[in-house]
Amino acid sequence: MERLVSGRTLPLALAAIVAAAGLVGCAASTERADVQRVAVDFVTAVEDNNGQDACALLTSEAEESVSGATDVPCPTAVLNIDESGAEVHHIQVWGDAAQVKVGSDTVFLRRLSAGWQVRAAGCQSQPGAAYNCDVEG
Amino acid sequence: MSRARRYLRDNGLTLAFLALLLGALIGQAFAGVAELNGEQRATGGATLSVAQYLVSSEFAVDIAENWQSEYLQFALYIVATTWLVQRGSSESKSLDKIGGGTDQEQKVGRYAEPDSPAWARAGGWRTALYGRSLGAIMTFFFAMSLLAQSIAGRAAFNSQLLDRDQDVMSWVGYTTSADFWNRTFQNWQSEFLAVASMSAFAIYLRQRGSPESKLVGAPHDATAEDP
Repeated sequence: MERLVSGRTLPLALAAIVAAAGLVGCAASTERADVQRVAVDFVTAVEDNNGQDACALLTSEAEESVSGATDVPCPTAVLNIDESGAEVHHIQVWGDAAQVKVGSDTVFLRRLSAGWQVRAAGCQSQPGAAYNCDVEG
Repeated sequence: MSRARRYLRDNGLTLAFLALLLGALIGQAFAGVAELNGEQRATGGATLSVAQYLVSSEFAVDIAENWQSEYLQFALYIVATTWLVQRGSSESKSLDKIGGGTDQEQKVGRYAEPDSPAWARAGGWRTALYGRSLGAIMTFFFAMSLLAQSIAGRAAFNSQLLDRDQDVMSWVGYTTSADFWNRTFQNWQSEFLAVASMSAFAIYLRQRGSPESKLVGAPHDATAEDP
């Protein structure tokens, strides 16, 4: 009877698994760097009163949310977010969603076709509930 | 008969189901990425290629949650049928053969035959281990699949949490979460249903030529081992 598998099958399978794990690890570190850069750039733009650059980093839904029911354009309204400091304390990246605790703020990001963008900012923790955010996209 | 044809004939059952597995995985990959990309387009998110989807947590958890329940089904079934019987079922031993059987019945140690596996003849811990190896390997793959489900499921769920402006969960937190256990129990119930159904249907129904069935003319109250 011909055997189902040869003795070379297991080493090849293990090598493929190790190679795949290495590729996934490299991709993850690049994502964290991109997320951190976008979050810090947003917070820094708000602190520097550069509303134009800050709004460019928002998703379209978040940009609309900044103005809210008023006619105040985004570059002006976004400067109302209370930002203090750009030191990154905490980064979580899972799939195409991310959370960065930077300075006094917590921002949530989403990876869109054009790359990572800020989806929610000016977020305060609520015990047992979702964060309450000044900007929500 | 050529060597290739003999190989296909001698291993047809395994090869056929491996081919079906590959086909189903390919189908799942394309259907899954289409569903995910539909959701992504609706919410303005980035779409994934099939290659990107194959290494995503969504694909991994969908695979792992199904595999762990299949291996659990077989692990429990293999071990349970040592000690539990079902009168009349082709899935059951004879009602007077409950337990691990004698060494003579199992052809181990001094009762091993010339073509018995080496560890069946060796005696001691080797024979004890080999005599439980089938249930053990199924249990091992169940445990590994369950671990993979917990890891991939946590990744997929944490992505959802962040999209809802919530903090992520630790691995311990996720393994006690409703999402983990909902996925787990909905898979387990279908596996246990399948075994119970097969055990019961095989009492009264037949499939001519299948080793999973009693002989067509066998009485309803006979198990597969009964003469």
